[in-house]
Amino acid sequence: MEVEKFSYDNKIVKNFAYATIIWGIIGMLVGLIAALQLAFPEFFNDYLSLSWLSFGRIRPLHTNAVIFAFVGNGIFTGVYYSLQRLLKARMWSDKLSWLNFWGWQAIIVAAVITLPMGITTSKEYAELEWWIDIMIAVVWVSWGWNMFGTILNRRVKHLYVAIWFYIGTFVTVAMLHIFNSLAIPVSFTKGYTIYSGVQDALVQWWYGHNAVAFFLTTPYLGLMYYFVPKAANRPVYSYRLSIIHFWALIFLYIWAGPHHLLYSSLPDWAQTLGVVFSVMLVAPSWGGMLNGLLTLRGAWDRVRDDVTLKFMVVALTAYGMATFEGPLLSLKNVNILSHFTDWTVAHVHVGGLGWNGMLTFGMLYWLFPKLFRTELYSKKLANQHFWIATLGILLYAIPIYIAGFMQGLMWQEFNPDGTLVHGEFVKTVVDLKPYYMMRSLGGLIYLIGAVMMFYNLFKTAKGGSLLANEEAEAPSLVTVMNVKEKEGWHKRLERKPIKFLVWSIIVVAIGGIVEIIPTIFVKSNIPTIASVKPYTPLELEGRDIYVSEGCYTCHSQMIRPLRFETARYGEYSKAGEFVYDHPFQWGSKRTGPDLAREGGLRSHYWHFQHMLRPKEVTPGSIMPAYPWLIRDDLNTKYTRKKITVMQTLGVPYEKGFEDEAVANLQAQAHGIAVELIEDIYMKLPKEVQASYDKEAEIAKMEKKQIVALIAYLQRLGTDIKGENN
Amino acid sequence: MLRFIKQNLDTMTGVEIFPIIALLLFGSLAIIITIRVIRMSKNEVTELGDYPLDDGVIDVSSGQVNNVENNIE
Repeated sequence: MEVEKFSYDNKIVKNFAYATIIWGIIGMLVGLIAALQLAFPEFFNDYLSLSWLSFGRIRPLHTNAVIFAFVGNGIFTGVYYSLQRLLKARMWSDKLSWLNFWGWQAIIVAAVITLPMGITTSKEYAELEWWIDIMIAVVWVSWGWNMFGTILNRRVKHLYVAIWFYIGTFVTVAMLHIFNSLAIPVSFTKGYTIYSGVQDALVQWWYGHNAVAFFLTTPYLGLMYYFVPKAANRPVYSYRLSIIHFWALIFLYIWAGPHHLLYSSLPDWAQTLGVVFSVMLVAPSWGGMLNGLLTLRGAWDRVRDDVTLKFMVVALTAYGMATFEGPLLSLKNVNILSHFTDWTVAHVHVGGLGWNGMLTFGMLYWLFPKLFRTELYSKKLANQHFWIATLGILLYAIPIYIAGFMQGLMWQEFNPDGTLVHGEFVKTVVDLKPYYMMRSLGGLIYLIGAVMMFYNLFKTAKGGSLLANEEAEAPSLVTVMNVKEKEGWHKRLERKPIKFLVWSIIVVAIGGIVEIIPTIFVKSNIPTIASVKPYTPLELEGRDIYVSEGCYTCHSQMIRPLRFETARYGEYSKAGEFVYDHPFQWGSKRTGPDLAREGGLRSHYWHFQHMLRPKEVTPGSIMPAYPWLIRDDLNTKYTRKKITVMQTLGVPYEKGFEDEAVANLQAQAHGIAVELIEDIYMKLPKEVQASYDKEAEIAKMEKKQIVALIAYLQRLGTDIKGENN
Repeated sequence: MLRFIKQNLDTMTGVEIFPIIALLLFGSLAIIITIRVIRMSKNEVTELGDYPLDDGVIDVSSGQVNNVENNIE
């Protein structure tokens, strides 16, 4: 049989591996800072009250860094290593590999710069602005192109199951990213999503859930199907099961998004679909977990000595726990308690720290000695990392689970007279502080483990030399294809990658199409409310500040139709209230109270003081102060353009209104500034009042960002409040 | 194109049939794949399962090629 000699590109694998470690540590560090901000808000307010470091801006940086920088680079590390070997071919184009690597790092750097500047779309895990979205699409396609080029140039007949997962990941993430990111740019730093309200929520969580599914899960399952057999030196337990696992998982996952929106204004039928498919998901997920764990049958003794396998076993166990808990959380009765609490945070960290983190660590410990042709620098240190990381996960998850249960239960507690036991929201936050501290400790320990790994792998690399091009040999594809054998339709499909791609697209698209198209186009799903009017230009600018500061990371704008919610916040939210919201601001976590009916509840002066000194206005509050909103002027350069873009998106501003937008904004700002300054004046000591120039202060105040934000907050929920009154 | 879809969906009664169709599609797909998987031959399953253990790498020191025969315990 004629054999061809070729080499595998290990340099690209090494680059991605280094990027995984470095960005992992940075992403975890940012997470630790965010956790410390909740545990020690006084310290941050007194000494580190910086706009770019505030929780609302840092939290999206953490999520983006760990998902796209840590796990993203981890995916590429594993894929570039395994794909070449499973196909017995070097990557199709070294240039595309290079573009993939540097393009991806450029995207991450762009995120690191823009998110702390408050440049964000506010769509969770899709916060990056339109031009970075375009970069992501280009780099992603370059990866897919290179992958398909390699598949077509392979020296094996069939595609191993890991590659199916990579293909599924590629097509689905591309589809999700493109559809969720569709926006009209206003400027370089701002774009408005084309979707509004309920549709935006549905598209966002169709994306958001599947970011978990197709970025954090399917590619890692592909890695699991390669690296667990490799590390255990035995084939996967059941290849049959892996086929069922793949098709069932990609079909079911895509439907599950609406479980993030239970009891919201989303139509009931869409919510129910989300629940049903989420519950069904437990079957393929556990099938995959068992397939991974049972691969170690007969080799469990090796787990005792092999640190790589230890990490992988904990990763698979965490995957099993997270995928059992996911369907549980999607049940409506459980979701009532869990939604908006730290329970969700605990759930994602079991998945993130346990499944993604531990599998990445195991893979890296296995890879480095291979790439650098040497032994691991210290097995002892790697073992210590394993125990530290496991302890870190437990110390993180247990307190935050307790915090979630506690807060959820406190929100629901009623006195015999029908009033809420914890009527003041802040009371339900104060009690959580010890748990937030313990959680920070867990995160710190996990981070220390990652730093230990960095040192260990760095020393390993230094002790060896990189095998940049690894020599290999295999019969050519023509030779392999000529070997005749009887095969079924699925096996035929496995050697036809383009057909495989098309079928994968069809399978994942069905769920998306069925859920989203009717909601977007069927009018009866979103009853319009006559009294709901577009935002004024000042309110719109204020809303953009709300988005920019990441207020949605702690405040929801969605009152569920539940007694304990309406007793606390007022009338439940209706779908028709959000028709002009580009983007929607329902949020997913309440570290602070819901703001859907905030408008008109408090004076302008209260909001002003609250933004300046939240702790003094609400004792016990852990909200950061926003002094820069009071210091900085509002930029009205793009106000006209914003109204024009809104008109394009179908918001019914009258024709020509864009020309009056700035004047309208100034008039409303003046009104608010007059009231504010009057209140400030009244609180001043008599001797200061005499020398206080009210007119000058009003002229200064009406230009400030805080005035726009107050205008927006005072508008929230008032459209239908007025109608009810 | 989009207007055409919108027009039809706007006026469509019983739009709920879509999810039911999708569910049936899923059910059918699941049954077909399960049947196919059960009918796979043992040889086929072994061959595909062995792919990760056979990467054709040439060991620099021994000159031996990494394949299933040299690999599995």
